Amino acid sequence: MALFFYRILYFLRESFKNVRYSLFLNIVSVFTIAVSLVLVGFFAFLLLNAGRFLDEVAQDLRISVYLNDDITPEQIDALALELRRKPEVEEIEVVTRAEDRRRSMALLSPMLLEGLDEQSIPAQASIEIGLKKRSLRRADIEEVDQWLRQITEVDAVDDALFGADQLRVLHAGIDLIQTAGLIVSMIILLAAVFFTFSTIKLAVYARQQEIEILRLVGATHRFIRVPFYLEGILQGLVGSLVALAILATMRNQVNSFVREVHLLNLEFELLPSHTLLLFVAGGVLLGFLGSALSISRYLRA
Amino acid sequence: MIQFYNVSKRYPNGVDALQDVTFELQEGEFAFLSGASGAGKTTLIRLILCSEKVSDGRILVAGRNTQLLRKASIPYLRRNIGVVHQDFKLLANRTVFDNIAIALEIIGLPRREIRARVHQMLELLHLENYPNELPPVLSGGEQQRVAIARALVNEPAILLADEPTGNLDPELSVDIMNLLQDVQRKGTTVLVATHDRALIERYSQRLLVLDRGALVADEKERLPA
Repeated sequence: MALFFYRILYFLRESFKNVRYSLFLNIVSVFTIAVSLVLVGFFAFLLLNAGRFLDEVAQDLRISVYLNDDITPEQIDALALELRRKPEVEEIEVVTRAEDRRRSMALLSPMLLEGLDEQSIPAQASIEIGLKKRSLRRADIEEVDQWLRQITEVDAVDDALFGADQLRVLHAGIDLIQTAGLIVSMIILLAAVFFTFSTIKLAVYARQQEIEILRLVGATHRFIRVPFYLEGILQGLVGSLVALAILATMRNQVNSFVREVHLLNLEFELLPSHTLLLFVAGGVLLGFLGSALSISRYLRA
Repeated sequence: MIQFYNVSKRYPNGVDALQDVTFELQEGEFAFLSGASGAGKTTLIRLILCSEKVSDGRILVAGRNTQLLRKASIPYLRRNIGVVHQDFKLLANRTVFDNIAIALEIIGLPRREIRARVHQMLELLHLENYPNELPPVLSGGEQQRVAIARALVNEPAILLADEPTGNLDPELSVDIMNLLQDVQRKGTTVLVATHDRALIERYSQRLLVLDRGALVADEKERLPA
């Protein structure tokens, strides 16, 4: 038990000493892990927020079904009932001609309205449809587009404005970003693992003589390995925290750019909170595996 | 303590470093291992340490057949062997204290005991003023003494010294040799590899002579010059 305790103390002391004595190599390893994780995190950020962006767009998306002037209240009720039954529909609002006129008048300046006959202001009854968020998937758009076409064929309906074409373009763009992003992220992830391992391998190589000396004085493989493992874990931990700090700064920049320059009320997420821990764990694993693989190569020899 | 039976070592490049070498070193014995550069002295030491594998023959170290040792058991055998290398093999970025202490750290001694034993060694080898120095700032002789301190600090059963006086002035060489003899008197088996004929002639201990890998002489009784 006492031996175990002395060993743990020794390993911790040794790991911190190694960090201090090989500060430059440690900084290089931490930097490599951080850069790799920033690249991976950046693309994860893009992939996650592309979907989120679509959700944001969906929130404000409303379809207007314009009704003919001669529509009867019964016809409106029947149409509203039919629309409510559609699985993609979240809510509907019937806007009467009088309501539409009132909305138009609210937009005009009182000076213009002075002496104007209310009835001369054009107005049209309509049904406004709010779609469910998930209804912006490609298949749903086609579905919505199809039943809107059918509705416009009903005599009482004048026209329906949906903007399916713009949504298709948006979808295509986001699909492209997500597919390209996924491919690029996979390549970057592989490159990140490769670069991290290569850097750590070089760092371990620089300490080849130290490993040889430890072996000659009778150190077991475990005795030699453990400080390297701890060092790798520490490098991974610091590297992932540095990467998170860089990504958070980047996210804040993007958010303020979108808010201030484009006046959009969009809030991009860094990474979902439950993945933050995974991100740090990934960094730790990267550091640990890099050290473990490199050291085992030298101990096998 | 060290037994070689018809030991040969051939390297992958075809060089025969040792050929049919047979000798025995008893517990507490002192012997010189002599021969020109490339005669096989370092190979012989590396074979004792299990840093190389025997091509033919059998080596027993402290009663254990080195060929039958599992890889995981080699470190435990090495803990019984103190080694002074020709190039010192010190950790350049560790203090003198840490370099000596490492031999005790690996066996898991408490920090307090390590400190006491290392300081004892520092005094014995007149290094008490340098515990916190890094090896590169020390002279060759001082580095050699640090290497000897590391080899002796865990009181090994065997001490192997590869050219231990190679970097020292004659006066210091005598000091080191006296120290090695003291160690032997306390029961440690000592094998000193050197090509320094003058040094060997000053002492009467057993002499093993290697020539191109073959043991050409084993002089047990000698008279000092």
